[in-house]
Amino acid sequence: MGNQNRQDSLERSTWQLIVFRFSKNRLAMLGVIVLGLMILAILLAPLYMPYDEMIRQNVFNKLHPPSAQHPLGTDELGRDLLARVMYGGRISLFGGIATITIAFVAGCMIGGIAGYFGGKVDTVLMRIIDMLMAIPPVLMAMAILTALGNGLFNLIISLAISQIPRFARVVRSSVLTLRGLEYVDAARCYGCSSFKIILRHILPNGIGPIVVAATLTLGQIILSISSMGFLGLGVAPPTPEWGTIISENKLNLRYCPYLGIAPGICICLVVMAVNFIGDGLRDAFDPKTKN
Amino acid sequence: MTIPLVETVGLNKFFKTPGGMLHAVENINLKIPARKTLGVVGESGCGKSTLGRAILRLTPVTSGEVLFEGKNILHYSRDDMKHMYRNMQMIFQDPYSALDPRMTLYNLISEPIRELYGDSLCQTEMDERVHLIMELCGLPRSYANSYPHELDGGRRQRVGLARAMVIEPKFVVCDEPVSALDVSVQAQILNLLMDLQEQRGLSYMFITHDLCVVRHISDDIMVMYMGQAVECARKEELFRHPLHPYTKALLSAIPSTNLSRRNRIRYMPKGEVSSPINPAPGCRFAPRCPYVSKKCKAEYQLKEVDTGHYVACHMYD
Repeated sequence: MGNQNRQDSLERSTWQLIVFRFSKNRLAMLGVIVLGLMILAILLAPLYMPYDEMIRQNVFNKLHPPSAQHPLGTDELGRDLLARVMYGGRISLFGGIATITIAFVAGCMIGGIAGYFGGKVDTVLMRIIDMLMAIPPVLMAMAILTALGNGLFNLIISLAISQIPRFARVVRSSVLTLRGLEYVDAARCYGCSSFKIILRHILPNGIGPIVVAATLTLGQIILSISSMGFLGLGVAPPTPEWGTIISENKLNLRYCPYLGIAPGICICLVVMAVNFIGDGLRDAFDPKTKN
Repeated sequence: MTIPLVETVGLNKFFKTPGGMLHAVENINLKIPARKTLGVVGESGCGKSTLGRAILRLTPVTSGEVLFEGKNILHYSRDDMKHMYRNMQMIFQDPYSALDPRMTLYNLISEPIRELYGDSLCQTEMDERVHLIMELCGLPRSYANSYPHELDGGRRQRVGLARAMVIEPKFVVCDEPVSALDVSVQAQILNLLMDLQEQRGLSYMFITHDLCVVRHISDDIMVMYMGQAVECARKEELFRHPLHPYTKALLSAIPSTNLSRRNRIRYMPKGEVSSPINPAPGCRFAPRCPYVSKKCKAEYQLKEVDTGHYVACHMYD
């Protein structure tokens, strides 16, 4: 029984150690707090901000500077900017994170398989990736979205596909360097399947650059969602979304800069927070980090 | 005659290269009896590591057979092979890349048990086995939660040893396990290997380029040159009566601290190792051999010239 307990604490301590190292990282914790607050604010928006507020137009009240009634002011159609930013966050933030997650998982799988097995599998998969890479991501997302039909879900899928090549490339290159190491041979020597080796020994050791790439791409994805919206694909007005809010107000930005600053700061904060979290995760998973 | 624990029959491993076939391992027939150590020596690139990897099926074999207790394991399915790995393990050369840097010592050493025996062992038994093997390998119990980067090279190699030994295999391929360590640590690891052999009745295939090491640990020695076995004999016999010109050259290259041996005759082969890609038939060593004759162009096989002493050279026909 004593052994059982000791072993439990042993198994747990690996994870505890990771959590501990992560919690010691001030920037990462700042990222968690910022992102958590934003998610909370966005999720709880219906409680303090009726949905009508966001689409109700009031032309007499247009381009109103920030006031007690409209904390962030109003846009050219007199809609409350705070409401639009909060409801827009649902699409920008969750859509962006969903896109990155899909691209990340798919890219890891394709790159991992190509890098680990090499040979013909690698050639076939990488030529497909090259073909995808030859097309500009936005153009490709547009093509896929046109084929699939408009809608938020399809938008996420199409943007994810357009981002897969970048992840697959990064993952493949780190797998290539890791698969020649002797601990991979050792794992095969005690009968680990290829799938297990990739999952347990290769990906955890190559995850650093991939996580950084993923967090950096998030900002770009949020902007891509809005540029697609600008082109009339994906999210259509009057549904707000951070990028769209900026682009629909760009004519008035010179006189009413607050219209661009609020959604801009939101994008900035999310990207920065996710970046810090990504860095923190990478360090926390690396046992060589001093603690 | 008893069946040797491990045996290879006409084992070939060729690599396809743009220039043609690279003959890494060619027609190797070796026998390793239970509880014995076969030392495999040769210079870098002569195919000794590839041979070790081929026997463990870490690299696919071109042709030939690998017999474990008389059964050819090359046709084994993945599941059968998984069973087989309970009997055969490998110790690697580089203690820095042979251990996953993200796993604690406990997890590293217990992973083979978890993989090969699944849940048939309860946690207490597993704990006991891990701690026992750590103790045997000279690793304090308190290291169980350490990571490999916290240890020095010698201790890391002990972890590699513990990982290979924890499932109590019968046969272990040691691929230059001491060549990355400094001499004092080398001795510790070699003695540890020999102690384990005595206690557990292990067989080793010990791959090295260091003749002093092979002299210390082996029972039989096989000398390889460019993928082929050129001489094979008991250790004492080989060091006392080396027959093949390459073996003579190798042995005479061992530095000596004995002044009276200062002016001994040195057999220095001329030139460099020729290319192993599409080699010409006949003796591979012929272009460098001081005793080369016309007969060396013909194919030849290892021949028993004395009891248990095999050599592949036309001089001893």
